Amino acid sequence: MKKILFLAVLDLILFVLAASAQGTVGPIISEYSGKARGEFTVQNQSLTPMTVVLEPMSFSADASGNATFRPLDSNIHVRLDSMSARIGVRQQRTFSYEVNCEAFPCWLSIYTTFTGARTTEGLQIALHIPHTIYFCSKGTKGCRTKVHHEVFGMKD
Amino acid sequence: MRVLLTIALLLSTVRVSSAQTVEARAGESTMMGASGGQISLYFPDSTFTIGGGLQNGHFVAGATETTSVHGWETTLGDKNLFITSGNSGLSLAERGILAERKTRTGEMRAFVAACGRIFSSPYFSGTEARDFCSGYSYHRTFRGLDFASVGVHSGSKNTALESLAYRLRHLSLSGTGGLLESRRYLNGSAALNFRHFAASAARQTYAFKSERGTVDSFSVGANLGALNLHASDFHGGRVGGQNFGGGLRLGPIETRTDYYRYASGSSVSGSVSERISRHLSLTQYVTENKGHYSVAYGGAWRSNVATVSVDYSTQYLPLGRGFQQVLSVSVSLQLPHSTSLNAQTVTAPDGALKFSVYGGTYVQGPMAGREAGQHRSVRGKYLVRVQVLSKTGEPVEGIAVHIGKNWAVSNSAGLAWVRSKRARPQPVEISLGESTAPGLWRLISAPDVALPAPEGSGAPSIAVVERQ
Repeated sequence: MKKILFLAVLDLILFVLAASAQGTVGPIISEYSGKARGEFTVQNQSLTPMTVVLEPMSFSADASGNATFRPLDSNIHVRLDSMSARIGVRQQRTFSYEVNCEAFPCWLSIYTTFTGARTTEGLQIALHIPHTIYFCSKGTKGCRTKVHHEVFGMKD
Repeated sequence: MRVLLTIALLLSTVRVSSAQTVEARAGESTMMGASGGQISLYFPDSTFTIGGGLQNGHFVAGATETTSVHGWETTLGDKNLFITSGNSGLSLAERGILAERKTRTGEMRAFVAACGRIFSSPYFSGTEARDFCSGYSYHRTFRGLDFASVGVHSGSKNTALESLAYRLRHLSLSGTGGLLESRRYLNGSAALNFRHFAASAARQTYAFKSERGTVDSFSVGANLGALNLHASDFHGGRVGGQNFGGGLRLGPIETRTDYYRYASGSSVSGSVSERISRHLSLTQYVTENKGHYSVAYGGAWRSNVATVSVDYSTQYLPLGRGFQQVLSVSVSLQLPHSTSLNAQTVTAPDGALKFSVYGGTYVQGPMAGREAGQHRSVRGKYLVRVQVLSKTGEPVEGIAVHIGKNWAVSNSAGLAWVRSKRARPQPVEISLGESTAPGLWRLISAPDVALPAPEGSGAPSIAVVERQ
């Protein structure tokens, strides 16, 4: 029984490792000043069709860069062109968005969740890859560095 | 149509059920003078590819089996190998056995095969093997040092290259030396890379067939936000030359100018690119060479389904009617069921119009899930929202919901939405078979229609499901 459990866990780890190479998001980070209107592309590198679901989330980080995610803050408004898509084998899809913030700087991640075939029993493996947005007032340079240093207290 | 028929024929000849995924590709090209097809069978531990076709009237074919054994990836059959040591190396078309292993700090590979020449297209490849060849390559990274070694015996020629590269913050140094196809070879380069400035110097030996030359080059570049500038100087070989230029990006407009000076004269080229919308971009090019000006126009439309680019230019066709207006078109389609189609045209030096058309598709075996409906991109100021909840009121993630002609999957808040241009009620259907939520689910209740509402207002329609 222990051996079966060990093999099942090993299988799961190998599947997760394999899955991590099968979905990509680019660019990973975008910086904006004044107006935040952009897009990112999601690619399915795997050999099975995948479903992707997008979800904007707020986050904070400690001085070491460890991030904690939470539901999107109410003062950040994200307009996505769509929230989910089915992506064929080795195909890609571009999602566009517009962000409005009531206070600057603001930052968020649009989490892309990749899921493959549905399992009727057992575990579903999902891969979460964020597209992170840093948005500052017009004319501000180095928005990401500014947030990292002045808000999160990170050092180089 | 012939391409589609070939893909269908290839798929009908394999037992899909034995492979996890089957990929079929086929194409025809007067540009490459080739028509043929290829099929790949993806098994859990291995991949088998077989293909063939006609290239300029000759039949060429190839087959490859790739398997992973104890951390070694072994390839039996045809492969186009690029064996590199530092930034130098050689390309070999081999038919034999190749073993590769990657580790955290490096990689190694060894092969024994018959080498020759390869024909490769996006839809099939084939090798004509003639000479015995064998070799190895080894690469290891250790405390900022990169060491690489290559040894190849092919026909009557030997290659033995050793390289060392060192990187310290902004400085990189690298050098490669030895024999490349039985000729002495020596390369070296140094580069400085800062955030806004980069400079490099290199000495490179070029070898192609019986030709050989050594070139010294120096280059500097500056990146000042919207403005970037660069300059390069090349000495040695048969000719030297200089190039300098710059680019400027102002919002959706990007412009670039380059000046080239060489032994027999000089030329200037400039381009302006405008991004008109998310999908449409236009480019204009102007080139001056020995007092002659040529102008070209291009445009591209990119969407999630289609990419179309059109270029209109004046080209000198040496075997045709001299200067001639040339239109080239390229179309790439990303279709449902993991299918893609590509077509492009180009004008040959004799003025004849050449084309390439090819496509591919994937078919899933028993391990794959059910194919869900294709997502259509709809713009609109209204959102049609459905929230999927359990009987206890908890949000359920991963439930597929058809709303009107579109489709969405619920997120962690149980919300699934699509955009709509009109405020008209949309029919709703919960599709448990297309859902990604693990387990078996049963529909308790769902609305027949959902009402669109402007973004940020209105409440979602509620659907209730239960785990069986």
